[in-house]
Amino acid sequence: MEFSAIWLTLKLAGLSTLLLMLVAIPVSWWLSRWNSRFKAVVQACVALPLVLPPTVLGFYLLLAFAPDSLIGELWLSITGERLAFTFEALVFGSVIYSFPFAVQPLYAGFAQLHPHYLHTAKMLNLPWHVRLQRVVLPAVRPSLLIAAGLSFAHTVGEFGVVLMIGGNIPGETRVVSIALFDQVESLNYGSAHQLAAVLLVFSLFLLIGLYWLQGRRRLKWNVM
Amino acid sequence: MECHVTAQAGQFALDIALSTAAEPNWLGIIGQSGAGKSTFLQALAGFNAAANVSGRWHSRDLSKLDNAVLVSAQTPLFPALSVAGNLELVARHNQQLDNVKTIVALCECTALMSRQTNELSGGELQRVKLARALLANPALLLLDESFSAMDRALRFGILHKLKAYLGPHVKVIMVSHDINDIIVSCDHLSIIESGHCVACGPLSEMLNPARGQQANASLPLISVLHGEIEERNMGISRISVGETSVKVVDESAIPVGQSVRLLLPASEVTLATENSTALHTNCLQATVQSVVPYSATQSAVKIVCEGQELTALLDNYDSRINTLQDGQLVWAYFSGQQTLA
Repeated sequence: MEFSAIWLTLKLAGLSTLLLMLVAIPVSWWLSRWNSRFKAVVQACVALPLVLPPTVLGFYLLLAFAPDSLIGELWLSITGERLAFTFEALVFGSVIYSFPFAVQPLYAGFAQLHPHYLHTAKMLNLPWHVRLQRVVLPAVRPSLLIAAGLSFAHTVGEFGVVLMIGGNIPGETRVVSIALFDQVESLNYGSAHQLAAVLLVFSLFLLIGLYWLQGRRRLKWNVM
Repeated sequence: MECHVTAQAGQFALDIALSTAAEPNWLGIIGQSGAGKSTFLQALAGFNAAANVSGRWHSRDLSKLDNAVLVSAQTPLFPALSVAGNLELVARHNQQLDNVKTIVALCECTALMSRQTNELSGGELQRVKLARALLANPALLLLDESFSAMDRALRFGILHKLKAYLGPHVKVIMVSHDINDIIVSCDHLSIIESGHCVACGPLSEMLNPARGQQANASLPLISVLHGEIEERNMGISRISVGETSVKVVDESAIPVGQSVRLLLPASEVTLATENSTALHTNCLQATVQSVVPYSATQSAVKIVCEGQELTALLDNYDSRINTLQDGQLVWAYFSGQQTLA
C-alpha cells in the first residue's frame, strides 16, 4: 500500500480546499451581486475547467510555471526554487482546476439569499462582520459544505493536470491517481487494485455524505 | 412635518409629498393595494438605494435618518437564530439588553423565546418582529401591516402598550388596511393613491370634514369619543365621557383608570329629538351642530356631546331631517358593541 501517495493526496486536497474556500467565498458573493453584460464572460472563465480536457489546462499551467515565464520567474525570485514539478505547483493547479466546483454551489447559495435579510440586518444596526457571521454564512452553510466537499473530492480525483505539471516524484508529486497509473504501467495489478479501491470507496462515501446533506434541508428559509 | 419621497420600482413611479401644519406623533396611511404604501415605508427605512427622501419631522432631517426601523413582511427574522437569539443579537448591538424583558412582555413574546423562527404562526411572527424592531432603538418606527395576523383584542392591547412605551419621542408611521387600527392609535392620517398622496391631515378632520368639505369616499364615517375606564365587570367596561358614562363590551386588557378611545361608526348612532325609552344600552344628550350631505341618499348630522363631536347618518328621504336646527337638543343612542382601544 502506497501510504505516502495517500498522505500526499490528502495533503494536496486539504490545502487546495482551504485556499479555494478563501478565494471562492468572496468571488461567489461578488458574482451573485454583480450585474453586467460582461458577467457571462466571467462566468464562462470560472466554468472553463469543467469542460476543458485537464491536459489542456495542465499544458498551459506547465508553460506558466516554467522558470522563464512571468509566474515561474516571480516564484523563483521569491522562494529561490523553481515552481514546475513541485507540490506547490500541484496546489496552484488544483485550485484553478477545482475552482468551478467551489464557486458554483456558493454562487447558487448566495444568489438565493434574499436581499431582505441583508437590508433588515443593516437596518437593525448590525455591524458587517455580525451580518456575515449570523445572517449570511448560516444561510449558505449547506452550500459551503457542498462546495468544500466537491472541491476536496475533485482534487483527490485529479490526474491530467498533475501528470502535466507535477510528474511522478515520490513524496512531492506522486499522488494516488499517478501512483495507480504507474502501477498499471508496471503491470502490478495487485497494488493497482488496492489504490483504485481506496479512491472508489472514498469518493463514493464522500458523495453519499454530500447528497445526504443536500437532501436534508438543514435550514428553512421563509421570506415572510 | 414635511416629507417627500420619490422612488421607482419597475414600472411603478412613487412621488409622495406629505405635509401637515402640526407635527404628528403617529401618522396613519391608508390606500388600496398597490398604491405604494409599502414602497414608501421601504424607502424611508433605507431599503431602496435609488429612492430619494427629503423633509423634516420635528427637528429630524428625514434624509439623514439612521434609525428608521421597518416592521413588515419584508423584514424577516434571521432563521439561523431562535426567537431569543434574534432579539438578543439586535439588543446587544443597540445597547438595549436592559430593555429586552420589558419589550418582550410588551409584545407578548415571553412564551415564544425558546422557539425557532419557522415554528411561529403569523401573529407570533409579527409580535417577534415588532419586539426586534423596538430593540433596535428606533427614532422612526415604520409599521407596515404589522398587526394583520393578530386578533383584535391582542392587536389593540399591544397598540395601547406600544403607544405608552414609545411616548412622544419615537415617531410612528403606520400602514394598515384596517382603518380601526389607525383610528385607535394615530393622530394624523394620509391617503395614498397610485403613488401619490391625495389627502393628509389630522385624523379628526379627515374623518369628520368641516361644513362645506366633501368627505373622503375611502374613509368610513367614524367618530372617536375620548373617555376613561371607570370600572370593568364581566367583560363590560363603564367609560366616563365627560359627566355621563357609557357601557361597552370590552375584551381589551387596558387597565381601569386609563384613558381610551371609543370608535363609534356613524351608521351605529340613532338620533331622537325627545328622550324616549328606546331599548339601547347607551344614550348621550347632545346638540346639533350641522347637517351636511354625505352621499346621494344620506346626510351626516354632526352633534356635540360633552364637548366632543359625534356624527350620525340619516336618510335624505326622511323629511324630519329638514326640521333639525343648529343648536337643537337631541339624544344619541348606540349599542354597547363598539370598538374600544
